[in-house]
Amino acid sequence: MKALASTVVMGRLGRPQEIAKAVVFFASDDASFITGAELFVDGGAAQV
Amino acid sequence: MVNLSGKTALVTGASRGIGRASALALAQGGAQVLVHYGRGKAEAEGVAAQIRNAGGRAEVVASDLAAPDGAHNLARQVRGIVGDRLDILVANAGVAKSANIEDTTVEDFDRLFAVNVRAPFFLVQQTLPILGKGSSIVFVSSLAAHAVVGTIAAYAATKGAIDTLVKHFAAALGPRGIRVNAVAPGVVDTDMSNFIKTEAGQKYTLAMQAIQRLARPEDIGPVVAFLASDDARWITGDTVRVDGGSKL
Repeated sequence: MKALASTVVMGRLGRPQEIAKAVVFFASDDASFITGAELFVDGGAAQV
Repeated sequence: MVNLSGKTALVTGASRGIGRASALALAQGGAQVLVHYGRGKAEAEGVAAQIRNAGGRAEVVASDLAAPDGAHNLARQVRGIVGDRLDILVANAGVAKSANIEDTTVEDFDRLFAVNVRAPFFLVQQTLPILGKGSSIVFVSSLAAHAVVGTIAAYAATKGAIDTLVKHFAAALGPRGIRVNAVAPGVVDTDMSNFIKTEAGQKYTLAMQAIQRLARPEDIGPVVAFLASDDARWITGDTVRVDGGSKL
């Protein structure tokens, strides 16, 4: 777990609630002009 | 809508367009917003007045971000207002110039990079002392960084540079608990875009988009507010496309 967390920019593992917040955002009207897009919710793990 | 109550925010280039929509979205979430402008004093004061009339908190700050010390000057003013804590930095201010390769001048090129790349870089550097755990930085990239839309090579290169900064800043600042992301709008109906004012431009835009209407700044602002919020606390180093499904 510690080794895995060290690969994440934010230095820890994510929590289910943190993914849920992003899911709710993508499902909401606030994201009404977003389609065909991916949103990475990974604490920066695959982004840098 | 996101909850940003108790947070302080700076939005550069907030007198018009996407910056204005971002400032309004942040204020709607409850943030105190510093509305920066370079030239549009009256418009910026209008944005601040609109926020205050809705019961929010807003201040206007001015700085020429084309100047070498523009970001330093702005950061000093921001620290004077918010003290030791800035929760949200939206580096939106930018300039665009459409020109083919032969017609791009050194002066135009330098101005594009000064405002669109140098200023955001040094604004982050100069506000770092007051950014901290939980702070969020949002840059404005563009569809143009990854796809050819119009004859805007130099402008597009500035946005490619922003995507690169997002990754490097996210990696450098993650350990301090600071997140760094960008939104990448496609063609948006703002004063900055001459392209969308033409019939050919509108036709081209709709043909490349999955969603069959033109984008307004109000389509982008709420996405900036989301990335700025704690709801996005596990998102960093990413550029989120907000382009109606352009060039899929």
